[in-house]
Amino acid sequence: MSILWLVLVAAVFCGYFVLEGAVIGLGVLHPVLGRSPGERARTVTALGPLMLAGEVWLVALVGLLFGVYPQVEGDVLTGLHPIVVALLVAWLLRDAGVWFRRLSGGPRRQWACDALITAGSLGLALAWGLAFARYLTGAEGAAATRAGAVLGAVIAALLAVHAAALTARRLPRAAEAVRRLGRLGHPAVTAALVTLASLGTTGSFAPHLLDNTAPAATLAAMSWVILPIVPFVAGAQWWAWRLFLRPAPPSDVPAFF
Amino acid sequence: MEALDLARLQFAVTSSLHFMFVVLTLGLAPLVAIMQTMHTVSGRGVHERMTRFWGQIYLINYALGILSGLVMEFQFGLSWKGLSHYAGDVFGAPLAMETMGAFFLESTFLGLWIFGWHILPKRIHLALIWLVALTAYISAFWIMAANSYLQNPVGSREEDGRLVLTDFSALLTNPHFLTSLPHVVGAGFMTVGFGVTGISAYHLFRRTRDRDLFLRSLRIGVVSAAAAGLTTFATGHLAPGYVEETQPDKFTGPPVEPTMNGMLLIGDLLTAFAVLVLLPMLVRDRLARARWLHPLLVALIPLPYAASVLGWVVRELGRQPWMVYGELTVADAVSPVPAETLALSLTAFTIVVGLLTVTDHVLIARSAARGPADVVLGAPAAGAEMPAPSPAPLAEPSEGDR
Repeated sequence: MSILWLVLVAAVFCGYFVLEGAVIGLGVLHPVLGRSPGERARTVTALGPLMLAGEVWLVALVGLLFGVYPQVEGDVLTGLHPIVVALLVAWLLRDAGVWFRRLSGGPRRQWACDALITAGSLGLALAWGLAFARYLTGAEGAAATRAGAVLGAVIAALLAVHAAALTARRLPRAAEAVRRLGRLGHPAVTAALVTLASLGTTGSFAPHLLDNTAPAATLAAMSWVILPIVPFVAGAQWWAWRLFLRPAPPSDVPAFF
Repeated sequence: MEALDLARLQFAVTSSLHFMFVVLTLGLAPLVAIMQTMHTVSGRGVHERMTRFWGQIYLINYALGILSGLVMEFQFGLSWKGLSHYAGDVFGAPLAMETMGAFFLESTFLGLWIFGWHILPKRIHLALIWLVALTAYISAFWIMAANSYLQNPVGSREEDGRLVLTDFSALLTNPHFLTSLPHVVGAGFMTVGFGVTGISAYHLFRRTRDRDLFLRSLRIGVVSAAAAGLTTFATGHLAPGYVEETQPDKFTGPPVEPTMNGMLLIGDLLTAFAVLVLLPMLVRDRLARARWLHPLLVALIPLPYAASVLGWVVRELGRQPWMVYGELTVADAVSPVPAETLALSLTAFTIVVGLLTVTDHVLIARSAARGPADVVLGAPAAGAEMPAPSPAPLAEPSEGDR
């Protein structure tokens, strides 16, 4: 039973980086993909629907951690306190930029929202870099911050390539970037890279997680409620990503963002 | 201030802001679903315009519901590590059920609803908004079950210095849960009822072109406010009985007593006003013609929000000094992080969530004031203002996508 829950947690962790990673990557690429106001609107129209289906994976991950590994959840979030706060602030600003862009009116406010989207996405990548650097190297202080900044830049670059590959069929400039990048720019390749990196991280955590699994009675209660819903979640997600990654111009998707 | 005070203040600020968006979501999601159902059945334009106008307000509100909710979820681990260590084996389960079993679907379905407009078949698109409303209610169910456990920890016992789950069904038959859930839902419909009534009155007063839309909305708003007012009243006045047994001092003491009286005063007066004045005035559209009353209806919009937040404060303050009532104090639950770290997160979250809340309410007010002619949600061709090389037809192929 505890193995089954570990697999579910690992799958949600990978899902977050493969799917929401593409949304973060699109935000990082936003100034490159959208050089004119029309192109920027087009990029956000492509990004918006993906964001709602993407960011929810991290919400689910933290909820799962709380249910299955409550000790670890408390230790990790408290241990990484300032980094998690930075991650949340970056996340809120990125989302606010997307949600408010179209409704806020005037070109200057739209420019401000575009800036929030890119800065927030870079902030998310950087916060993940800092978090991984702290946990994987065990280092603290200035050395960890330097390693984290470098790792954050690597994450931002990898997710940007992944995002370009995934949306190349929808955004002309993304298609151009992917053509230049050659073979690395295939969505399957970038997704595999992101999955491997995420799996490696969960793998290094696995023994610690298994040692701290919630008692059988808690797992049993969650099994009754959560496991029957998992196929529906997977189906709804598959439907959403398929619909919003169709090889069609984003202009046929109703723009709300 | 000490770390504990900072952590408590941060929780108070962020949960009060979050709750404001939650109550509107709980009331508005089903109303928008009903409006879209009316449109699907009748095919009438006015029902479609209603769905889009109120749907857009629902969505702008929902944005901050998500964003403040993110802070809420992470905050348990950030500031209250002792809770996850001591009670996580029990309290974590309903939270995991909420995120995996409800919010995951809600967010996915919501994206499909917003961006599937004109792409998906009408009936499937209608089903999506009902699924969004249903999953929002399942979310509220689990969150209230989790909170009620903190108020009255049933179905668990202490073992080796930690609480372990002994009977999960006890969490769902907890008296603190059974009456608080309908009470919160009632607060949601009351907030939305007065909101829809006030905004409709604004447009009737201003003689906005789409009178039909606001006449119908006014009726929906008043009926919701009256029915919800009675529900909230009944469930609220049931509470003292079982609360007395489990949390004897809950409603006494200086901060709680005046807060509760404030909530009762607003709630009872608004309920009486909705049931005794507004509801009878729906006959022969008297309310719609009573222009002198319309500015008052607009002015009442914030009051149910105030009552809702006060009610939440009563529930949480009355539990002090306990995190898990009778088992774990907030002082033992707070994370062992320096006060400066918590001061930093308190400042960051208060500024960011505060500014976004103000922005969001400005956008809601603007969207509400502009009226149905200017709605972005569900607008036909997104490609109109973009230099799309080949504008796709409205009913673009959705084969394989259902």
